[in-house]
Amino acid sequence: MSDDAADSLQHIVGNVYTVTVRRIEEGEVAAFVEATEDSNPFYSGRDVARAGRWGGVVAPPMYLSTIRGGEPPRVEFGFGRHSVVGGSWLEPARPVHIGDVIIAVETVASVVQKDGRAGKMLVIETATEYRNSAGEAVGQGGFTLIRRE
Amino acid sequence: MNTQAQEAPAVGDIVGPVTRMPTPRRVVQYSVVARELAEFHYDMQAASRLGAPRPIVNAGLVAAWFAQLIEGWGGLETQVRRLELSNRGMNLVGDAIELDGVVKSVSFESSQTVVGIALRGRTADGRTTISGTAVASVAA
Repeated sequence: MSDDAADSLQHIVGNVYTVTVRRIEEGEVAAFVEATEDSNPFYSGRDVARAGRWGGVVAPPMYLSTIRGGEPPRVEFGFGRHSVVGGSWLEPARPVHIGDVIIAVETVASVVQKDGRAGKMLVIETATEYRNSAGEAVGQGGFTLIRRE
Repeated sequence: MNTQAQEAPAVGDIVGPVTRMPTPRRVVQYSVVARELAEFHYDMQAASRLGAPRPIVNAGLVAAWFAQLIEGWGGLETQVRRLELSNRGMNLVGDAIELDGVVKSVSFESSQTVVGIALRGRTADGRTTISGTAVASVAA
């Protein structure tokens, strides 16, 4: 490993590393709602949701962040065994309806090496754009992945 | 859902708190739904290799709870426009997390009120394990 492992990884910055296509299924949204204990009727109550502003059940905003491929695959980081999530951000732009097809395009936004309290760490920022099958942006987000020596 | 804002939001308003318990069942459920199958979310030994005494709660699960905190406070017309979180420590399976926030900014856009909120999550012993910010629109 070089003194600064990030130097040898700059070639992956800006690369699209995963394209995930997912049809939004009612059962998957229901499972997300149950797992997160979400009582908002727009996400599960068909009658309330149909009468609401979206005209039907939509996915909770944070559901978008589950449509992703994880950390960049097939990259030899040379740094630690696992990535852990150090942070995340998400900007939902429009509701995601049951039956929508969402295309998530993930890129590596940056790779830097830092000195933390527990030693050196590699910090990988990812960025994801979410679009529906009509090409409309439905949101964007990203993760901060941390690998420790 | 937690207590909703009864009046127009103002800087300094408190959002929440709500307390969530990441049980093993809940975390496994979320891991499957989110396709986050890293072993340290459900396996003691894998968690211990990261220095954690118990499995680690998915960051996405906590993020979903923060979104609920905001929507519960603002009411059904609330939309989370941006949520940004930074982990300050590990949230462990079996440790309750108290989530709350404080309104830091209020502005107006056509028929909506847009609020900026500072967020934090704490364990029962008072450790802040996660903090962040959110922007949300609520009905004016």
